[in-house]
Amino acid sequence: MEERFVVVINHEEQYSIWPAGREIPAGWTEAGTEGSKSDCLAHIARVWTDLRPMSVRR
Amino acid sequence: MTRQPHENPDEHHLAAIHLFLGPHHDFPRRSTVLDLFHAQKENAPDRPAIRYRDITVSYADLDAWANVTANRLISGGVRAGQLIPVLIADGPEFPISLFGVMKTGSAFVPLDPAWPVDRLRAIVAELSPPVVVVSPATAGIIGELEQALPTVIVDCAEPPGPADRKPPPAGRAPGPEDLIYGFYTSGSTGAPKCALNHHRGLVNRLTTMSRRFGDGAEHVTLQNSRSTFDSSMWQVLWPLVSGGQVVLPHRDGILDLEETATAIGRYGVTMTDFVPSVLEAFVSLLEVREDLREATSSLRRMLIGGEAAGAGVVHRLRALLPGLEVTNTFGPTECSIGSVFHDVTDADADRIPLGRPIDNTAAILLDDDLKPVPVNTPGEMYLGGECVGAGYLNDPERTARVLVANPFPQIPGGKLYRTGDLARVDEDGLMYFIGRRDEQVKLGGVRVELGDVASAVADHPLVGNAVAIVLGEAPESTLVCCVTPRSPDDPPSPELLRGYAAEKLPAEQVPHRIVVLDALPLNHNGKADRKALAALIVAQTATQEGPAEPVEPPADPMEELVCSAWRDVLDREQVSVVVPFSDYGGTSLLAYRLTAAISERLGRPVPPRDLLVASTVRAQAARLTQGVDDDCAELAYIRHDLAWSPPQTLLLTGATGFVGAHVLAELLTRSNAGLICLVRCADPADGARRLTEVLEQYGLTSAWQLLPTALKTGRVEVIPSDLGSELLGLPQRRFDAIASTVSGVVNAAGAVNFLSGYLDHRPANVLGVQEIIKLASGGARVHTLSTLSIFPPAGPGAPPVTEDRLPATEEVAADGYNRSKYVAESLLADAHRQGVRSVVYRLGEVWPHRATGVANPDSLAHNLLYACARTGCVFPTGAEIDVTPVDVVAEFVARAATGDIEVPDGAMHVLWPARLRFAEAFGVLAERCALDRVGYPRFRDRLEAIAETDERLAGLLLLLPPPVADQDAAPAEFDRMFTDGSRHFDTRRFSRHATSLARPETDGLRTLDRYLGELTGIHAFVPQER
Repeated sequence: MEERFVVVINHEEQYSIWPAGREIPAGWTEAGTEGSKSDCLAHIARVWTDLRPMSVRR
Repeated sequence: MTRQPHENPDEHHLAAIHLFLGPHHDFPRRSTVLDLFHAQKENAPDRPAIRYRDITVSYADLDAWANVTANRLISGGVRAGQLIPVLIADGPEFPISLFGVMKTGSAFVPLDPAWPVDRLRAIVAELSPPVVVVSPATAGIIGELEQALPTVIVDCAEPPGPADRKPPPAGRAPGPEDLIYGFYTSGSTGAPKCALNHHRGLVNRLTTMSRRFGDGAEHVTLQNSRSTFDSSMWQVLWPLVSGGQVVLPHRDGILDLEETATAIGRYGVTMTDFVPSVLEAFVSLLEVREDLREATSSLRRMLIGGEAAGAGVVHRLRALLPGLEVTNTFGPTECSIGSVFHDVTDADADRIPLGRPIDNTAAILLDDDLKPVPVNTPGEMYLGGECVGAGYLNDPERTARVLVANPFPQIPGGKLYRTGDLARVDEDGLMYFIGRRDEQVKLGGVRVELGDVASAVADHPLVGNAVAIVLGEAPESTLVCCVTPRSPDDPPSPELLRGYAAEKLPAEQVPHRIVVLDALPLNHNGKADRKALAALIVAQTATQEGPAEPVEPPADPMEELVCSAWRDVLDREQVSVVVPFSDYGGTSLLAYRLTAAISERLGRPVPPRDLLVASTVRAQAARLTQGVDDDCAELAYIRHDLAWSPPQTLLLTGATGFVGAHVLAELLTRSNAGLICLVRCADPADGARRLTEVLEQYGLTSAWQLLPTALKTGRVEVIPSDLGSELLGLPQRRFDAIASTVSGVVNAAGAVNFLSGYLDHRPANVLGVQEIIKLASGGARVHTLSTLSIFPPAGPGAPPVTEDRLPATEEVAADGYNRSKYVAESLLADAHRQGVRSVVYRLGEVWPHRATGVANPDSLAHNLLYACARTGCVFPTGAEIDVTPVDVVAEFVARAATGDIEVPDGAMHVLWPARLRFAEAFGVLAERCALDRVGYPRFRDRLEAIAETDERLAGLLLLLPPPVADQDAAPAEFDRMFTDGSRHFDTRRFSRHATSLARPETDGLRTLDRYLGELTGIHAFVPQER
């Protein structure tokens, strides 16, 4: 079966993916989307429009 | 003992992570690269910062020029936090622009004026900057891109007015977390991508360098990387943030290493950077030019990086310049230039490690489960800490894919960068490069995504599908793009597509060759099968009928001299004197070698410029003839004429066998002998295909690439034959014609099956030799491969076997193979008394090629190691074998057969003075692959359980003796299977004549490393040292 991933987000509102079911590293939280790797990456491509960390977005 | 890893995961992981952390050192976290530069300017404003030709720019002047630039950028609408293209190749304008952009609070993106206009246009469109920074030399290019695009011209010839020199308004200065730059790198999705980095990452890298290599003020640094490669960043920025000087090269697109060496001498350069493949040419130059060694003696440290570094060239360099320290550097453009360093020492005799992470960074090797791998186990490298960059411009998907959440609290920072590189870490804590996970390759030190190349070509309206592959080994690799037409009625021509690719891709990514195919071979996943594709290209070229493309031959000896240099450097059978060097895939590095090859043939140095302004053989020859006085020209002719040797043709049998294929490769690549190959096949095309296949199978890529042309030109002729039949299965006329043509016969053919008797071996091994003796009575000399195992295993204290001995009939080992080889040797010895000259090469255990690591699939020793890998276990044994690499055997036989080395008639023991204890090889294998250490009975049980599904294992099992009860070690009978190891063979005759062969490695186990890599299936895309 294809490995499943979750979309994760950090306090700077930057996104990444993480294997589903595994403890999420400190500083990151689940962003609410789970699926195949490509599904998660496609989701990120849709929602992450400004790649800069939030602290430097002006 | 049981399996070693994962016994106590927590403890194990903790130890592993400790191994992957770089040292912690404080660095100016709150400063930017710009702040550090300003501090140096305040500190010593009049100190020289930049040297370029006859110009010296002080820190104060550099700062003033940068202010001018910043003010103009701000007037041009540049705000903070933007990405500003810098379209400048060299000169003081380059660093001035970098600091100028930094002073606006924006980040710079270096672009290469030599890139194709289409690529520049696409990049500028993506960045959509308010202005582009240019120099007077590059301002014209903007007009070709987009007429309306505003520019800021940085021009050092124009002195700045006092108002302009003032710093830009306060509040524009960047912070440490702001972007400093973006570099475009090749991208696997088809479009180049812009990798972004922060000031803090650069500050950490640059301050680490000062801590390790001494204050920059003590150094003069030469910028030796192009401005569009990120390694240029340390060469330009590090001197300027640490009070040193940077020497900027004057470039005109020509790689002129003599000029580089001279510049090092002129400015007293102490530090610079080389890509290993260019370093190779540089070292070769220094080796022959004492004046340039003298000029470069000021060098104290050299950084190398960009591709896998061969140990050989690095140590040659260290020997030439004893005061020089070499640091291998590793890291992607995405992570602040590079963050894994190794200072090379004598201990790195065989391999140059990647080393260890630098200050405040981490480099950790993880398995697919994101768990740290144990020592000596391959894992993918992830980088962490201060070096991690900001991902890719406008590409959230790719950014999220490579910048992953950091699950290790010991590693600072929230993200890890996933490199896609496979590496392993040694007991000494040093990392070693293994290969890539994906399609990324390095060509001449430049990162190339094959997908990028293919997708550029696939954009052409006549192209359906495109796949790019690399043939051959660095530094001679060729980039080939295979395409299928969109419509079968309208196939595009390769020339058309090459021209199209050249308009879209930077020069180093333009395929050297384009092949149009009806369909692409697919693997079981429905993707293009690269291996099959590579084989298909060669096979297709081999069988292509009809006239070859017209080749204009040389018209006079000077053209012939230049032509022969081209053939050598380009590794081609034929070159046309009117076709440009670049059309044959000539790169600037190859052009550099060409000047060396022509200089050598002419007996006088030729400046690279003389050749590079003339692109064809004819034009180069004309220039060379003009440039020399009459006497020198005559001398060139005399040298040329003296180098002539009579053409010779050899008959080769057994070229599809393991040793035979290696001999064929040697003869093809290192001699100009014509070759008639007798092959068991249906027809010549079928035979040609079989030869192509074995060369590919054994990784003999140079020969594999040469073969199609050699077949086309008739240098190699394939004749279907059956050795066991009368006249070798040939018509009488053919047999006689061959007998009168060939000067030598290399008989590498032979049947080997330890399980069958004499009569099975008789046709090929005995009757074949009888026919060869008949053929050789016409005067050809016979070179035959035989075996040391015709001598029986010795009892204790048996005397050494000398080379002039043949065993008595009743003494011969009792199996069919050995008996047949014994009879063949006896027949040759008898024939010798009647005037048929022959040399017999008795071989022991023939080991994998030292460069390719590919083993003989029929070798007993190889199959045993393979069985260990398959069964997942090793066992105790006292067996020993001799270890003679097949490249040694093949080189010796080929050179003896062509007369390059003179050998007497009679037998010779072709044995390398090296031995291998199986126990040692087993140890290495067990550690690498985490194999169990079990008793011999258990090993045999496991083998039995899986042998049914694998023919090779089944064959081995039949030969293995049963275990002895209550004994863990293999029985004595097992040890005796490797007879050559149990007996002493005298090698006096061989040793006397083998002195010119490459010397054996000091450590037999190290030479096995590449082989074990092959065996365990860890494939290296980037070849390690040869």
